[in-house]
Amino acid sequence: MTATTVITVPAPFRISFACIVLVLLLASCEDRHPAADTSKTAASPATDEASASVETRRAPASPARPDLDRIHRLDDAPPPVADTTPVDTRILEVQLSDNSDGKRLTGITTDRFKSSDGVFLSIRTKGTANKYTLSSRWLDPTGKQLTEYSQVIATAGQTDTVFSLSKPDGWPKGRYQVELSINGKPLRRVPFTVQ
Amino acid sequence: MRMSSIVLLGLLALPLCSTPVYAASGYDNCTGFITSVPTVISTPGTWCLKQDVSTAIASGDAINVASDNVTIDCNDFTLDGLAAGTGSAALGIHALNRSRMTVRHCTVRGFYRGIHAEGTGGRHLVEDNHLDGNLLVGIKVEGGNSMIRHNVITHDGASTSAAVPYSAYGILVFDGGNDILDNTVSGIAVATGTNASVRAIATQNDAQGSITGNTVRGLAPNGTGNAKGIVDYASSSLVIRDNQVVGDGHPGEGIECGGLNPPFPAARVRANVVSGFATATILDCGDAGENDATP
Repeated sequence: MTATTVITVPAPFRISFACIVLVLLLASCEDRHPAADTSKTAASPATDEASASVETRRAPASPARPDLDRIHRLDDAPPPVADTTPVDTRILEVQLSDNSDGKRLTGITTDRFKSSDGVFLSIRTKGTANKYTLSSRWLDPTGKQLTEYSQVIATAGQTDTVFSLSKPDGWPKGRYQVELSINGKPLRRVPFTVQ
Repeated sequence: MRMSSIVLLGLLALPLCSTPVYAASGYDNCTGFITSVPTVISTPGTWCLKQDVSTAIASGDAINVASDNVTIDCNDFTLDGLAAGTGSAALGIHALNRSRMTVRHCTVRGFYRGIHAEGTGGRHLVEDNHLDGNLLVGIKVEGGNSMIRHNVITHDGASTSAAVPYSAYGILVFDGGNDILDNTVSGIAVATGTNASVRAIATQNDAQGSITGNTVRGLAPNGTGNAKGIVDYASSSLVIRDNQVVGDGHPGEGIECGGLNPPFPAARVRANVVSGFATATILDCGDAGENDATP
C-alpha cells in the first residue's frame, strides 16, 4: 500500500521529498555529535586547544619566555610584608561609638549597637616608635573573621586613631570582638554586642 | 493671544523653578547605602554610595564583597584611599571566590588594586568606572566569563611597596571568556628607581575572549623596565581588534601575543592602530588584517 503511494507521487514532488529526507538525515548526523557544534567545527583544533589551555592554567612558564611567568609571579606576589618590628607602643584605651568624623568619636559612647549601626573604635596608643602598624581583626559571634585591615601610624607619643566597620546589610545579632595588634603583636580584644 | 503667551512663558520657566531629580533617580534600585568604609557586604543586592567615602587603611579591603550577586553602584561618587600613601597594600573593592559581582559608576583612587575580583567564581561586570591613582593595578578580574567595559584608568602604578621589579597594570584579566571593551588606559607611570614595567591591558588564559575598542596611551616604565600596550599569553581564540595603542618610544611592544608549551594558537589581531614602541609594534600575533602599525 505504501509502495503504491510512492509510485503515484509526481516526479517534482519525489525530488522535493528526497531533498527533505536528505536534509533530515544530515541534521540527524549533526545531532549524533553534539560536541562538534557549529562554533567548533570551523576550527576544531583550536577548540581542543582551548580546553587544554584552561586545564593547564597556572602552568609553569616556558623558560624561553620569561614574560609568561612574569605576569603571574609579580602581580600574584603577596602584598608588601607587614612590619613586625618590635616596638614599645601599647594600647592605653579603646572607646566605642556609633559615629565618628574620621578623627574622633562623635556619637554615643557604647558597646551595644543596633543592627544598622556602624561600629567605631577610638584607639589611644602611646610609645616611642615614630612609625608602626595598628591592625584589627573583626570576629563574628562564631569566631569567624569578618575582615581585617591595618593602618600605619607615623606619630610617636600619644595618638588617637579611629577604626570602624560598617555593615549596610545589617549586623546579625550577637557578641562580636575586635582583635587589635601592633606590628603583628596581639594586644587587646574589644567586645561589642549587636542587639 | 496674550493669555497664550503667558502660558508659554510659564512653561518655559518651569525647568528653572523645579527641583532637580536626576540624583535620586540613581538610587531607585539601591538595596541600601554604604556611608562609611571599611565595610563588608554579605547579602546579595545593589549597594550604593550617596556621598564620597574615604579611608586611610594600608591593608585589607575598603569594600569587601562577601556574597555572590552583589552590585556596588557608586553613583559617580568616590572611594578614596589616597590617605594611606603610595606604600599602601589596601584594596578598593575586593571579592574573593564570588560570582556575578557588578561594579559600576565608581571613582576609585589610591589603592594597591582598585577593583579586584579574585579567585574562582567569575561572571563579573565592571563598567563605567574611573580608576585614578591606584598603585599597582586598576582592575584585576579572575574567574572567567566577565565583562570589563567603558572604564577609564588614569595615573596608575606609583606603588613604592610592591615587590621590585614589579609590573603595573591598567587592566589585568585571567581565565576564559572575558570581554574587555571600550576602556581607556591613559597614564601608567611607575615610581622612580624601581625598574618596573607597565602593561596597559594584560590577559592570560582568556580563551575565546576579546579585547576590542580600547584606547591605550601614556605608558612610562622606569629604568630597565619596559612597556606593553596590550599583552596576552596562552589565550586560544582570543580576538584583539579595533584598539588604538600609542607608546612614547620606550622599549616594549604595542601588542604582544604568546603561548605556553605546548604552543597554543596566538591571539588574532585585526584593525588595530599601533605606534610608538621601540621593540615591536605587534609581536607573535595571528594577523587577521587591516592593522596599522607604525614604529
